[in-house]
Amino acid sequence: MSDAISRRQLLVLTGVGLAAAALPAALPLLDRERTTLAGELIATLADPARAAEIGRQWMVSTERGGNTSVFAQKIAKRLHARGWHPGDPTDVTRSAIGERVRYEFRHDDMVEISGWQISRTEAELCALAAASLGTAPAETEPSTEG
Amino acid sequence: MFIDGRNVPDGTIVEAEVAIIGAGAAGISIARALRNIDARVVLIESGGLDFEPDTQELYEGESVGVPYALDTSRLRYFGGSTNHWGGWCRPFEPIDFEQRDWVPHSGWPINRADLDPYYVRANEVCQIGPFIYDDPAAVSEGGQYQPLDLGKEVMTRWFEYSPPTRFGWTYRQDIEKASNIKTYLNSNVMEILPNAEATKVERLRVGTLTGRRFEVRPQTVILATGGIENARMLLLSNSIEKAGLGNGRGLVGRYFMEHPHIERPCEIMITDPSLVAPYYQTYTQSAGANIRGVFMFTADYLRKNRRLGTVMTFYKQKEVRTDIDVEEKDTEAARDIEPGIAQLIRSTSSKANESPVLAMRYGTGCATEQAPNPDSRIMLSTEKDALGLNRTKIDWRLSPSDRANLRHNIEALARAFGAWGEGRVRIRLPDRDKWDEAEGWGNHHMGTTRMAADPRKGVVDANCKVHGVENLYVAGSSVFTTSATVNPTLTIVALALRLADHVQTRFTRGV
Repeated sequence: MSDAISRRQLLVLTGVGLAAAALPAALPLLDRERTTLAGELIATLADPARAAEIGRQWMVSTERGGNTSVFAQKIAKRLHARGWHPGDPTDVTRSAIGERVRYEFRHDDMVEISGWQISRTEAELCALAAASLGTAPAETEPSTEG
Repeated sequence: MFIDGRNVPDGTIVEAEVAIIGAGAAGISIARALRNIDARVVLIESGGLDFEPDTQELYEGESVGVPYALDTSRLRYFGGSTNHWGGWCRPFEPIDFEQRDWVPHSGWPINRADLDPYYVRANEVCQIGPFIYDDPAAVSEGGQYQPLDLGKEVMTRWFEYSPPTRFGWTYRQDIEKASNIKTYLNSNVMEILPNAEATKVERLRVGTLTGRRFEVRPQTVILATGGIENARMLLLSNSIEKAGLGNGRGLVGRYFMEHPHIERPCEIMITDPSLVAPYYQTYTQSAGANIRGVFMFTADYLRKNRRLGTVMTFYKQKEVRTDIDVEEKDTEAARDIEPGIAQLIRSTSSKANESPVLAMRYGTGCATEQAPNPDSRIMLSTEKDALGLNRTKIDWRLSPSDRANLRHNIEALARAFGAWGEGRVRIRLPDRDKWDEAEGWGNHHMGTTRMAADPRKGVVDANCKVHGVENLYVAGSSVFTTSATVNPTLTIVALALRLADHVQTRFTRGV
């Protein structure tokens, strides 16, 4: 995990993991996986809090809904297509995201936030951070945009 | 020999084989190339050897389109606007000469290969040093400074800098000492007078601000008074051809083009400034030349996406840090998320680090190509100048598509930096169709006597000869069919040298 993550952010992220661990066994396994998946993806971010602010701005400016599960699954699906699997080491995840991000830039799959041009997966990682850290705008309908 | 036109007796007739009207970059280049040949050359310059307000005032006129100052960027004395030019030089790209089906009115009757030998000579005239524009190996300092690998849409190209050469100062002695050249200073050509059929120039009516009037009777005339004044001069030459000399099809003055210069159309953030060669960031001495790396767009990209060209410079602006002082913090939303964007890049790149310095923000500048537009034009005003000649009226038009084109090109730059991995781009170009007068222009005046093989499509032919007038040529950026994206002076000089060769060959052959 990057040194740039603050103690507070670590606590929040740990909280996500703890919450997942504390989930009742009766809860569908898929949901638990999703929660863990979000933690795995967020762990690749050098600064989740700053990423969350980017995600919040993106969601506000595009009136975009979505929650942790939705964003995590969208990203995981794209990474899976590149041979990545949940549970892979963080460095592997980071590398897979990097490859995907560069692919998206090459294929003009960009979004604009305050003029910044970032890739779709980057934007969704930021939105995932916002949703996980509770800074996302109130959820409306989950986006179905791929 | 230099002669002050104010001392020439009224009614004098000067005979010459060649008359060159205008002593700027083009006129002086041609005069130098023709020095000491077996032909009498007369070089006629409106101004003297120094700036004089009364002469400069002749440039004033009216602007009725996009606001445009007519009397500030040009200089009307020996050396012309080279007396204050910046020295940026680069040949046009091969694609700039091509007919592009997505650019109406594009397509020169010559190509880059036709100009290549003259670009090399122009480089010498402009005192630039080795001709290494497209040679990364030459500027890499032994491989130390490689251009950024920005994929298939964006390419690095290099400008080379003239000192900048002040043509009037640098080449004054060459002109003054040439046995076959007489230079008339403070002498304004007021009209180019052809025969009754308007097929051949017979004489030039010359006047001074002090009221003297005399004539030059040349066998060949080269009009070299600049991208705006060339058109005005032809339009003013209307005693025989009422619409103006060479203007039988109404094309003189049309297709006026500029290079819109937008300050900071985008910002580029790069994680590690050491990845960026010094030549990108400022003027850099390399391999005996003063160079600067810029971003341009590949011919493949321009063809595939049907775009006009853009050239982009960039420069270090500010470090992006984690420990931004609240007092200094820019409240702009983009600034608030800037460190986050830097961290986002570092999340997926190999450049994660311990430093509070996350990245470097670079500012940018750009010049962009304008599509030729017949309605963007130079005309004659009803107002008269001190010589009693109609002033210039300019109706410069820019289209929304020109602006959209620039935006698309910046998006391509964003794709390139994102795909490279260590950079991201923030677009600052306001999202609007209209151009704003606050945005800058390049002071490059082009297209008003455009070159075309077909007389229905242009004023001059591939040799810069005015269609239908057997001994009248035009030199300068007014002959540009399309504007390309880079500064025009090197191409002006290259075309001038080519024209000088052509004229000299005609004399040699006795035609």
